[in-house]
Amino acid sequence: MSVGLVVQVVVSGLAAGAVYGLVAIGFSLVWRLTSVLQFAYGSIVGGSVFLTLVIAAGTGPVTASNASTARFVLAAFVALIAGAAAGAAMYLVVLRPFIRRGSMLGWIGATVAVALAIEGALAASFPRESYVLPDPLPFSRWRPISLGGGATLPPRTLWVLGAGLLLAALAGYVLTRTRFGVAVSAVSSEPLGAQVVGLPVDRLITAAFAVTGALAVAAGIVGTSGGPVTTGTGLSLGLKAIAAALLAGLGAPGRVFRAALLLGVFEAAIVGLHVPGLPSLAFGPAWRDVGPIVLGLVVVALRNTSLLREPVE
Amino acid sequence: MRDVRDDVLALAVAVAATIPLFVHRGDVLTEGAKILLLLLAAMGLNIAMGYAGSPSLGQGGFAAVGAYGVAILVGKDGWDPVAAVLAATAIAAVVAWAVAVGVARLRPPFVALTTWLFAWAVAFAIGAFPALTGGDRGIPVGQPALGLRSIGVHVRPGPPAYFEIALAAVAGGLVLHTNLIRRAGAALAAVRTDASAARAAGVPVEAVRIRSLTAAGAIGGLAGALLVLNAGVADPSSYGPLLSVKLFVVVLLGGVARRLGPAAGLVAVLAISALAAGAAHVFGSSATDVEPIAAAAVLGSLLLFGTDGLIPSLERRARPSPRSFDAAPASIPTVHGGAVRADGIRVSFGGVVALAGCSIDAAPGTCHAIVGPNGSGKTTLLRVLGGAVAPDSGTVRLDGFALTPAGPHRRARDGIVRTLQRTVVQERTSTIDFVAAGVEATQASAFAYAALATPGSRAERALTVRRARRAIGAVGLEGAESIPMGSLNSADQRLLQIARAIASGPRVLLLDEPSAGFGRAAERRLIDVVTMLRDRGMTVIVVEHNLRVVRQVADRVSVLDAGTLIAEGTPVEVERDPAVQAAYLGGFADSMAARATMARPSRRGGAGPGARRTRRV
Repeated sequence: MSVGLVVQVVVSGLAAGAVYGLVAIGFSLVWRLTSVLQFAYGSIVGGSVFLTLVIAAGTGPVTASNASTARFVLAAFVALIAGAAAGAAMYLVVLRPFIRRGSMLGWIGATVAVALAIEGALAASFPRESYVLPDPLPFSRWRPISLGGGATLPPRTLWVLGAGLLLAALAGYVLTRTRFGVAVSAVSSEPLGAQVVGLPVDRLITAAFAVTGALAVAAGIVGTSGGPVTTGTGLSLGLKAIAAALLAGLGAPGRVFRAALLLGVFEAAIVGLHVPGLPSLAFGPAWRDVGPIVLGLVVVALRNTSLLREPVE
Repeated sequence: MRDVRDDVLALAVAVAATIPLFVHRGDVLTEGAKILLLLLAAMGLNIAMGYAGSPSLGQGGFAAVGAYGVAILVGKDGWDPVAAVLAATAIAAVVAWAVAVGVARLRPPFVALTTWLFAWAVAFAIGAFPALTGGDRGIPVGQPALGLRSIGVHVRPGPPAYFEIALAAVAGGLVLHTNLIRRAGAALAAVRTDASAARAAGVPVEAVRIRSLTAAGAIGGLAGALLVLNAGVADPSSYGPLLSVKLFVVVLLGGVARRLGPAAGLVAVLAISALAAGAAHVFGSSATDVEPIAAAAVLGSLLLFGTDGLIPSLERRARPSPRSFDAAPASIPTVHGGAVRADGIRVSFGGVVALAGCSIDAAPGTCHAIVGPNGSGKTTLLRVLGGAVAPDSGTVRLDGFALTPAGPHRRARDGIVRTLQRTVVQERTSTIDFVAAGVEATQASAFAYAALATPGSRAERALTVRRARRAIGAVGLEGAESIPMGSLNSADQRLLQIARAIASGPRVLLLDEPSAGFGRAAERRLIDVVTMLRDRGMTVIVVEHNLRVVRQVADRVSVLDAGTLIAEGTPVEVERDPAVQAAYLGGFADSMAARATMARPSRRGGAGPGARRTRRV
């Protein structure tokens, strides 16, 4: 196992983890704001990715003629708006009625129903096994960076990592440095107090749902462009984001993002690194989806933080 | 105890059992068996999600474990189908137990989240290892013959007896359900509606959740295994997360914790699916388009009809008007009170020191009051005595034996039970069922015995009812046994908390501000109840702000201030103590006598019962 391969695994893992992290930040923020778990984030991402695909390239094969940067930017912009709208609608139409009734089972049922409805609609509208989202920049024309020992880093991976970190920094700035972010953290730590001091709590929560929806969509587009996407891509991304959020105990955004980076590296490692002496079944591509989720479950089972645990009165 | 509804159900099952004698079409019987097996899986889920309040989205995952277990054993390893079903169910039960142990301590929403992840992990694993699971094509098993037919005896024409087996399983499930509710229903309801209160009353909440999730998973696994044999193939799309959601919605739509909820919910979901399929047909869509439409329709109906479910909405009756009770407390048999001694108790939460080395010594059969200003650590001390908080250092002894901080339910077994500061109300629960949870908490009979209605558990049930009645009488609420708790007035509801605590016959009773929100009359009743309990030998340790009550019930008083014991003695001695007066009134000692009741801001901010209890005099 060469050093080059390790670097390749770590960097590509960080890139994937950054994408999970952006979705996970939104997932955790929504929990801390409303005590609701938004099961449908992944499906919103999936829906928006396919919206991007339709606008950027149509449903046919990607060719030089229909894949232009300008068209991609337009598509991504529309998808971001759609993601924000879907996030806000999720709160206003689907979740709020149940939150007001205090019906936990209701919002759980409603969010998973929405997730499956989006999945079903995608599967019905996009019958091919997989589609290819065009690249925002012509990465395929650039040569991969060689790391020695046969390991390479495609420029696309660096772009995903860079864009992911940039978006995370932007999210961090918005959530900690702006008036909006301070108001949101006031609501998350003490909703009633925030209301008493005159914050428009309901509007802030709606805005937070919209912002996290857009953030998740941005993550999805960055993470999936240039590669094959299936109708299940968004869902699997959402599940890994949930696993990352659980690893961090749905804590502060920075913590969640770091946990997601680790999870990404973990995934890249079990997929990319072959451990001599173990059968290929144990460590290989088959574990790409199973591994991170099982890791999240095992960690939660063994070391659940006080944020997840039921308090003993 | 004979319920006419049981007979109606038995009749319905008997009628259904005759269907295969008239209907010989294989596809109809196979479809019927499939629906019955879905019902079985939903009934299993209802135990965890409905009765025990653990919202599991993992039922489809457990069904998948059972399904693929049986498919691999029968289809690949050539096992006998019956043995394979049993083995697959056992595997599902073990997996469910492992998941349950992992999630039992989590807040309920995270139970939903983790079980959802589990269901997906199972689904991904099935897709990831096609060599084992057959990938998208699944594993064919070909409807193997079971029972008599496997030895060549044909009782009826048509496919193998899966319809009858499924019906028998559903009937068995109904019987188990019924027994479970009648014998452990109160404890389950307590866990479901207020886990904290259930814990304080001594219910082993985590154990109840683990058992119910395991039972649900095992039943889900059985249903999955039988579904595969009935369908003749284990195909990946029929099990897993989609099935989880379907079953979740079925239970939710029908009404959680209702015996017939799953059946009603399944009928509703099948009707919605049929309507959606019809609509899709009208608009010329293909069958795959039906799924989102059906999901949206289910969601819409949830939003429209609320989430109480079909069965409860049929049952809803006018709420009885509030009634008041004012009986004298009926005496209880003599109790062998425990000697409680705590030494050097230190508790800190993060950097905040709640108790800085407190000691308390309550003699058997006495009433010991703990008083002190807000934030002085009274409730924390009570929680330590009750086993809810593990102290950083210090020991709690009962009759000289050190108690380990192993949780409130272990304390309850040792004979120490606590009430909470807030009033726990289960609106629609009858008072006797509310109180019975306290008895069921400490009974030896486990879940499984209750479900099987063993003679031992029957005897325990009779004892439970007797003890619950006696406890209700002991707090002066005789005659209130069958009315819903929501129609008691607030003082009676509060006295009922004490009834629940004493129902299991504890030797030590820990009361946290029992008089909060009481007027003079209710105060009098409380004093009578506590005095009676003490006179019968029970050791009572009470945290109380109302010094008028303290003066009348307490033999000894411990005064806490900022986590330390500042005085100890009889009520009269303590009230004269200058340190106590300074701590309480900060120089306004003269007004002490005039202000017998201290104002107390609510611990729980905002609306709710806590806010209403605050009283200024």
